[in-house]
Amino acid sequence: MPGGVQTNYGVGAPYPQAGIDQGSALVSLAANPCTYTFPAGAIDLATDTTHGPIGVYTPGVYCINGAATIGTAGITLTGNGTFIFRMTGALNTVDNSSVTLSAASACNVWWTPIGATTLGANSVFEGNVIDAAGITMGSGANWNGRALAFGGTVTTGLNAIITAPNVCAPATTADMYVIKQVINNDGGTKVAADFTMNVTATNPLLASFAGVESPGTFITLDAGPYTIDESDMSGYTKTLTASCSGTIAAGETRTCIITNDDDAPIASGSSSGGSSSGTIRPRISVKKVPSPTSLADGAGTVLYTYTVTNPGLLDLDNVSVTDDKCSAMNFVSGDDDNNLELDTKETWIYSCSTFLRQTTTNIVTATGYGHERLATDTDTATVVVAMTPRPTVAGVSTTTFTPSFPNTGIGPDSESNIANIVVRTFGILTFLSLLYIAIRKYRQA
Amino acid sequence: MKKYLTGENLFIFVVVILFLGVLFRAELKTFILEDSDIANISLRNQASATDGIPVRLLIPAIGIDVEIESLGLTEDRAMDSPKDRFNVAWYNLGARPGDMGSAVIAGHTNWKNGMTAVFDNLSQLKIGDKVSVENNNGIPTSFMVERIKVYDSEDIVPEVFNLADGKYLNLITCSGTWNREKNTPTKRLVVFSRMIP
Repeated sequence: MPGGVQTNYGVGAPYPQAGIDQGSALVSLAANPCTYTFPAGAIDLATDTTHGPIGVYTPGVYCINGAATIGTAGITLTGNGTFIFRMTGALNTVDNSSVTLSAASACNVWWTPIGATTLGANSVFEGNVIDAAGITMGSGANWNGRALAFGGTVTTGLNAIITAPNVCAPATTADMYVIKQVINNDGGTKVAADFTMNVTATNPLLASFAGVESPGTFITLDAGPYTIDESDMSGYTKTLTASCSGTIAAGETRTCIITNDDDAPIASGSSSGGSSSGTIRPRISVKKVPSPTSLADGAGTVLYTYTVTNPGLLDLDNVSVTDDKCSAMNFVSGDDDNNLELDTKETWIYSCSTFLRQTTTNIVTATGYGHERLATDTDTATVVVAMTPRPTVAGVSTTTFTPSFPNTGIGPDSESNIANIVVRTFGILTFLSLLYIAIRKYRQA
Repeated sequence: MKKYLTGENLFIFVVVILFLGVLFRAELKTFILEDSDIANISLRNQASATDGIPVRLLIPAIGIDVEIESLGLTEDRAMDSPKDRFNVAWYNLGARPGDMGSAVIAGHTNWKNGMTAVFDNLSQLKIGDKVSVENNNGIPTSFMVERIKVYDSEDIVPEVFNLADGKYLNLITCSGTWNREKNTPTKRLVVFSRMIP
């Protein structure tokens, strides 16, 4: 962030809110499921043919497990929609390469590398890059979009140009992923496609379609109220996530998950307190709350509090709560009768504390057993960690993250290959031969 | 004597010399810098050093005058290392040279094959030696070596990257023995220098 007056954030640097906003944008982009995942490793987007036609990309979320390069042949982004290129490595474009838009807008093209972004000399590039590791433009590079490098630097070479898109019209539509899950743990045989998804909204891209497992079916719909449901299927119990109905804003992306779990057959002799169908399903619920919910000043400690309840009819034993990114889980309170069972009227509280250096989304999973049948529930929470902007005027650096040392050794393997050995041996033999000839000439003289 | 100075013998001599030069590829790239250069630099104003990014490193005591590239982190959250063994890298997620805090610059050192690298002689620096960094606006900032320390390669060392009580420039290179399994030397040599007011 430069010093001086900034349109959105006022006077003076640094701008913690800018870091939070960009962090939020990154979280929002990261929440979109991959529509295509490349084979692991570095990918040249200009030559790849695994995703579709060489050099041509349609709207979607492209996930790269490694670095991405745009080679000399360049790429074309075609279609009126959103493009997200998410990579775990760096983004590099080679000299004189180009990104071309065809019926697409730079406003809707997003690049989110983990490694640094480097645009080659005289290259042409389109879209918005959010990259904490820094952005470098080669000389003469021409970029239509935005370079957002909170916590890093944007470096431009000689005659490099960045042009913000003239008009990024506010979106009037929203994006929705509809994911169908089917659990067949009691003998059921249905698959996702056996269920019919129904969308009630204004101008949905699809109003009715067969269910698809993750990443689901992508549809667009006009901003406003909507409802997504499915045609009932006997023998299955249906649950819908909260995102399957409500009011969606323009430009917002939501994911609706509809899960069907096959019902257990009626168990003889175990009908105590049973439902009319004779099936008693154990239930468990977990809710997770981080404190604080964001770290405006960069890395810091976050305390997660987990509230575990039993909304079912059966007491649960062997209750377990685990968090995929916080390991020091503590039971705080709630087992009122000290019987080690989560009774239907009890609320168990757990907590876990961890140190976050970057924006983190983690998942808690609670499990328990009622009449030896598993009940499970999950919840997620995201804590936005603002990358600390580096002062651009003399001042105290508040950077707290400490990287590992760089690898500045040059290994022996790099120069001990067979070719070098052969070349040097040949050279030494030639030298000795010349020396012999010289001595012989000398003696003859 | 005259009989040895035949055209044939001279030809053989020249061929031998040329061949030896090609064979051993003497690393003739040197980092020649006169003391007068840094003296002239020190006379210039250092006040606006933080306006630009560092582009040139000068260490007269060991003959270094090289370009600086700007790098961040690798995927495993280590400081990235220079792409070329003849230049150095500034850690662009940390302080700039001349800012409050620890600016960090890393360079390669050679390993076994007789190849030279920019920081081969970094360990020969002494307390009091001068180090200078020039930014892309041509503004220099000078530092004086305060101490030299060796760490294990896997250490996480805030005092190298995160000291905030002064204006530091810390230079990193490799030392120790080669760890074939991890493809890196076992130690890191760090030269700590402080800005000259």
